[in-house]
Amino acid sequence: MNVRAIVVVATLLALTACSGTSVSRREDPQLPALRAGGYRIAVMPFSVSAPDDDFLSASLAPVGQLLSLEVSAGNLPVRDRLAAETRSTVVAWLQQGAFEVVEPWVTDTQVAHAGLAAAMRVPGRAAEVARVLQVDGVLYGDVHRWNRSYYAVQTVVEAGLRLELIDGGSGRSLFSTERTESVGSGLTGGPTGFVSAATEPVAGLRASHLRELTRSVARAAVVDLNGGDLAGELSPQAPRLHLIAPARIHDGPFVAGDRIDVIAVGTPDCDVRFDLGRLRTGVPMQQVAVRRDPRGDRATYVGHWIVQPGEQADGLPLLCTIRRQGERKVQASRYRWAGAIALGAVTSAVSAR
Amino acid sequence: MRVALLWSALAAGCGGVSYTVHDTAAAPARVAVLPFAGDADLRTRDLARALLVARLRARGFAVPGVEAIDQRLAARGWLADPERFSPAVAAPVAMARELGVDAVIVGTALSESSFNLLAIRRQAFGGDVACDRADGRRYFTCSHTASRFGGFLLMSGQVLAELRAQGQHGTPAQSIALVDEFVEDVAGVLPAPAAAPAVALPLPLGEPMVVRAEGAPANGQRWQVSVEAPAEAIVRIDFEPGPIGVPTAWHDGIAVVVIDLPAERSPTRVRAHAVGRFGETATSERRLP
Repeated sequence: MNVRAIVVVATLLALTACSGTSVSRREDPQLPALRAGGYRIAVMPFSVSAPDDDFLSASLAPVGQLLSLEVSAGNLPVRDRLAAETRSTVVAWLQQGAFEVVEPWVTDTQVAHAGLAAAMRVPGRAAEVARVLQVDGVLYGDVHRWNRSYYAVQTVVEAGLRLELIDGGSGRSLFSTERTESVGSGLTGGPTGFVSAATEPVAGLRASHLRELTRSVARAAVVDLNGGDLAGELSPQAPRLHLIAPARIHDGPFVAGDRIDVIAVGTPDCDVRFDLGRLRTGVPMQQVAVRRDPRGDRATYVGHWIVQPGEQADGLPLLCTIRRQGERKVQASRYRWAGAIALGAVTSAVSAR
Repeated sequence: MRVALLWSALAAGCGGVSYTVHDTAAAPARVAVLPFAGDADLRTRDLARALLVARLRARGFAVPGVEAIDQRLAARGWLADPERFSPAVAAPVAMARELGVDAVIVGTALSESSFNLLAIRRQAFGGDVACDRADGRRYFTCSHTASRFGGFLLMSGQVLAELRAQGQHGTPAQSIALVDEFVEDVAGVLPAPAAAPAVALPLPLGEPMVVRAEGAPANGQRWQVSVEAPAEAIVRIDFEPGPIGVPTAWHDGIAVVVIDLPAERSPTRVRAHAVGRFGETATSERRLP
């Protein structure tokens, strides 16, 4: 193999590293328990320490939009709005997880009224901020990468976010993550000719790459903090239910004073709750028996809801959620009974069908 | 195949959100996001809805929580099965009045699609979103699809990149990314209110009143817990010892729950947690002798 070929291969290998994800994460051993107990956090305004695009990358970016047939780059946040929009994305995803998150406008208003606006960007003053906001912890963020780099035969677009959660009571850092995602266009994409070798690096400067990366890195950083997937798929380790149903047949709708008993069978030692449509959600169930079986232990859970005066609904689905809180993540599964429940004085003749 | 080619090429060139603001009056400040309807999986629709609530709050709207909205709609008989919810079940005026907001946001035709012919592939999530004021006027409509195009025909200049993208096509992570993009785009074009309306802080919540009730089963005790709380707050009760997070029903303006507990484990403390329509919270408790 001659020297030129070695140089080309080495360059390609180096450029291959221009696409991908790098993560460094640290988590306090107590965080999973705090998270499971409903830890309340406030998210501070983010900072942007990312370097600017260089002159060439910024100049060629509009050409990238044109080559990619995008309507405009107007939907790309300018740098001074980047911090606010990334914070908004992080809060939106955090609110889908286990933490109780204070609304940003409440945070900003209360801290400003307390004269602590300057403390919002200083992790060392987290205790003061937490006291004012009556939260357990304070989350800080910094966008440390948000740029496009053009190298003639290769473009690299990258977005990076640092998050750190400080406990308001002790002042110690409970969690930190530094995550960077990048996408390369050009040599690392495998050009098939001279034309694509020239145009693809410019097309790679398009706004949509940077927007996608910003959303992706914020989402992934929140997954890191939440200790698991948000709205993810059923995994092999997720707890399961094999049966859910009303415990007994009931003629007519359930009226005030009637007790709706629900039974479920599934993975032992989990938190199981049932919903009557969206009218009554999260009714707790208790584990009453466990059957040991070489194919897998099964537990029986029972719960009930006593109908109150004025409750009236027809066709309510009966759903059960089973949740296990492991060391790193919350795993949950949801199941639906094939029938429907009716409450109160309705025209339907069958109540649990 | 030709139709798919032509459609993909046209759609690839059509970025941006198609929307219309129908009047020049100020944007509504308090909006409720109704359950989304469409062919997409219910979990995906619920995720899109929850993300839209979060995004709108960040933009200065006062948005009730989805649990409060759904409980209210269910109590009125407008929301039985979330899989089959139709926003046409009641007039927007009636829904806005019931929910105590200036406008309702309605999502329809939410759908997910995906195909991969290797030469061409597309995965998309989109639908229609409208905002109807409490006075019956339509304020805003939007139709948008977030999508990922590709395939070896369209990406013939970047073979390795396309190979990587093929691995991501159709995955749940890709679906979530599309939902995220759809919601961010829609929230970004809805005109924001001039100023966030004032929301009362903290949430007023009474102490739980705990009494024994009649009708207990054998070897059990029946307890009734009632709490004074603002209307439409979501109130849950923790029993110590005993179950936690028990939901309550509204009766004569009071949040109430009746529950059977084992006779040998009488509760010694009862705690009430309330979440207001716009996310305000409060907790109160009562110790029992």
